Amino acid sequence: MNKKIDIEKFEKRTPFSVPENYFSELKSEIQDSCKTENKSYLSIFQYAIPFLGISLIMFYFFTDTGSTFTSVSEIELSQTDLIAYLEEDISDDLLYEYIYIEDEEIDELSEEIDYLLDYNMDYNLIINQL
Amino acid sequence: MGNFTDRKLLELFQNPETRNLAFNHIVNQNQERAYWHIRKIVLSHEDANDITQNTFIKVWKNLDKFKGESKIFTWIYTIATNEALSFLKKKKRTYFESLDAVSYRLSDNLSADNYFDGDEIELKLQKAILTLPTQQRITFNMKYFDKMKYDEISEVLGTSVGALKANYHHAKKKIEQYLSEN
Repeated sequence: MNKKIDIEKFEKRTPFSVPENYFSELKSEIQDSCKTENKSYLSIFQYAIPFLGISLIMFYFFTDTGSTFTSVSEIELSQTDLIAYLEEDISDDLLYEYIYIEDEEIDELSEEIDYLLDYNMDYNLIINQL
Repeated sequence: MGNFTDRKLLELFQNPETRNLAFNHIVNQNQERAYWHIRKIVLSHEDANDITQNTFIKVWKNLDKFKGESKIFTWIYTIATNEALSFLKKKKRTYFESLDAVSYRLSDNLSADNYFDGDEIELKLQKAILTLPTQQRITFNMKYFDKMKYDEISEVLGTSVGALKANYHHAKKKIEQYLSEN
């Protein structure tokens, strides 16, 4: 038969030990860790502030450059320039290079056209949809 | 270094000129209790040392937000408990085991630990404690070894006094059962 044990009668001692002078050293280790932690915060700012500055300059630069674009209506073209441009021989290959549509886009487009044709939609409406 | 009330320490901490003085005082007053509390959860000295340092770094970073609704020591105990539990959870993730399985493994390492100076009965008692679910184990340690009052434990763990009393009672029974069988 098992003997009855009452742990309240035991000596309530934690059976662990620590290295010599551990607690006096722990205090200074904690203080050092807190100082390092403060420094690491500062070092984040040290890099974050220049980064933020550069980002702001780049943002300003790009928005500023953007505003220098001239709208189409402001362009003045002489008639001779326009005729010369229209008479220029543009090969089909060159055109395809400019008009590039992804395969998925083509699939989507043909699905939309099929759908509109199936429901006898007006051609003008289809063209408008495209 | 004189004795300061919690309110005085918080006042001193708010002032940049006396901030370090207040923090040193808080470390002096609480480091041993916090360390032993953590040590009883994670058992290894090296792990307890790291977790104690992390605990006080959190105290340093968050003390200005602490409103003094509880005692500073209770608040530090809460941080220490959470840090120790997160450590065990990390171990659990590393080894893909349950939190309680981690406790069993800690039990295997206990007798080989250089900083364990208990006798055979104390080793058995620690192994028995390690068979408890983690939350019950923490409650048992705080009541049995740290002699904390139930309302203090309740503040730290955020559990009702009634539940803690039941937890302690069950823990004690399980430990006595384990010891009588082994």
